[in-house]
Amino acid sequence: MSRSERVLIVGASVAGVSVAEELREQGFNGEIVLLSDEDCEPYDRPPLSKQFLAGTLPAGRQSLALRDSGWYEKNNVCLRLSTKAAKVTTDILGVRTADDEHFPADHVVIATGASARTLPGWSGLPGVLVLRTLRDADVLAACLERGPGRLVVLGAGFIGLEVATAAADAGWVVQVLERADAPLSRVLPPALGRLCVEGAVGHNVQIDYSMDVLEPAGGDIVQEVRLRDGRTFPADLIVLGVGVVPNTGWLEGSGLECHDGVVCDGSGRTTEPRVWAVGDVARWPNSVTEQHIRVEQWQTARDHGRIVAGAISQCTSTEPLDLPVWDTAPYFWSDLFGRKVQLSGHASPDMNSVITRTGKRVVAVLGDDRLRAVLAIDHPRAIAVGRRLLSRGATFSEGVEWAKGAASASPKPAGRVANAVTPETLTTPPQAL
Amino acid sequence: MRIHLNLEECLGYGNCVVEAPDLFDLDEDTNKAIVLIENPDDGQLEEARAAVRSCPAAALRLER
Ligand SMILES: Cc1cc2nc3c(=O)[nH]c(=O)nc-3n(C[C@H](O)[C@H](O)[C@H](O)COP(=O)(O)OP(=O)(O)OC[C@H]3O[C@@H](n4cnc5c(N)ncnc54)[C@H](O)[C@@H]3O)c2cc1C
Ligand code: SF4
Repeated sequence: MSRSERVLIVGASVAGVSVAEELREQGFNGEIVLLSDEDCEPYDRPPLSKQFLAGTLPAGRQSLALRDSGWYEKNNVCLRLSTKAAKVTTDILGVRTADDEHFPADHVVIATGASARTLPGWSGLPGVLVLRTLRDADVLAACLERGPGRLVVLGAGFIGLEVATAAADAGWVVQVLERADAPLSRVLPPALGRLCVEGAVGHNVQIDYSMDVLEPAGGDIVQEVRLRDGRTFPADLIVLGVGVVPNTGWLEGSGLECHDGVVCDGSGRTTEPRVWAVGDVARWPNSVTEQHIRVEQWQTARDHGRIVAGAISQCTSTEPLDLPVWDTAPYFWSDLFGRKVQLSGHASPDMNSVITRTGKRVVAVLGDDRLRAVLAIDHPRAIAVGRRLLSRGATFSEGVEWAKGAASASPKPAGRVANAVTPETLTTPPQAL
Repeated sequence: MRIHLNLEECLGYGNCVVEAPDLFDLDEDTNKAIVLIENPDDGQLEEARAAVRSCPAAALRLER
């Protein structure tokens, strides 16, 4: 491997940092440059809506650091903060920044992630917040500290619901307004979505569905949320939890194929040779889920980083290419109302689902003819087994058979017995669309 | 290789259990990880590495 090779990574969050880390781990000894348009060292986002707002991080803000400060220097990774990439150049491969600096490179990795989506008419109004960055989290935490008051969350997605949990636990009166007729409706069938938010009542969070929210009517400070049917909800603070959009704007005119993310092959290669994309901004095919979509999840960003680092290392060697591909089932977790919700595979609202529960533990399987996803509440071990079923292409009925036993199976490894209760099984037909 | 778990940093996500159910468990009472096998054998190393990578709290390390 040549020493002069330079890998330029744009975006220094979990995906970008993973590429750098895995390159070093896989023995790449060329130059690694990481560009970030943020002004702070790379941090982790999942705790922002959870332990950060709740104030329970073991070492406070320091716990958010993706790697400790010394890591970049020690691994010879050049981290350039406050540097915004404006263009990928392909005549001389590299990146031009907003300050017109040009970084030539042998490989460019796009890891610019996603931004919080806003709603027309809402963005930038005082008292209306989103949560994506550490800065957003600081503003939100400061607002919550001034409370308690009345918080309205628009959107019953994972992040909105996590914010609702934290605010309610801090004494706020929380109202969640969702346009669809069920929570988490972008990913889950209604019965499963409702199962995930069962804890809301106990946490004093009111969630209402089929809520058609109007644009705010003028005025500097939004003091209420108005629905099309005339109902109003008073609010001291409003949080928009309506999803994210991939940060691909800067790639316009670069010749890379982008629609809802940068289109990649199974090793993360874009339509341009030696340009790669990873994490929330990238659309990869996955051989287990048979989907070619963006996956906005932490572990996926990690997996992408490892695979692209492996692929780049291969490209710099003279051996014939046998690039690694993404062949593990993606998974993610969320903390909803004090319960650990985990999902592996690819779920969609129109799938069949079967739910089994034993006490507080829940295992659900989703699929068509094939098993497509496994959801578990307070039962990570079930996700471990479920992932294996997904990887070997199990049928839906195999998944159902397994789920019937899985909820009641001991969460501890064999040997330790839990007090098993007979599982109660519930079958849900697909939702009519 | 030895698995080192920093209990202080562990946030109880359980990702390590998802990646390596033979090596880790989650203590339901404390919501912290438990290392079931401290010294994984060669056949378990890949799983152990995946678990370390999966920990969002950077609470896991593999040491020589
Ligand atoms: C509050 C919150 C909670 C979450 N909780 C969970 C969870 O529980 N479980 C889970 O699996 N996932 C969770 N996620 C999702 C997870 O954090 C993301 O999937 C992950 O951050 C994606 O990483 P990334 O590196 O692809 O992108 P990002 O984290 O979005 O990082 C992209 C980086 O690139 C920078 N950038 C953008 N454009 C440019 C440019 N032109 N030049 C230079 N730099 C640029 C951005 O500023 C940013 O720093 C959560 C996300 C949030 C916001
Ligand atoms: S993955 Fe990390 S934070 Fe999560 S339980 Fe395991 S050690 Fe703890």
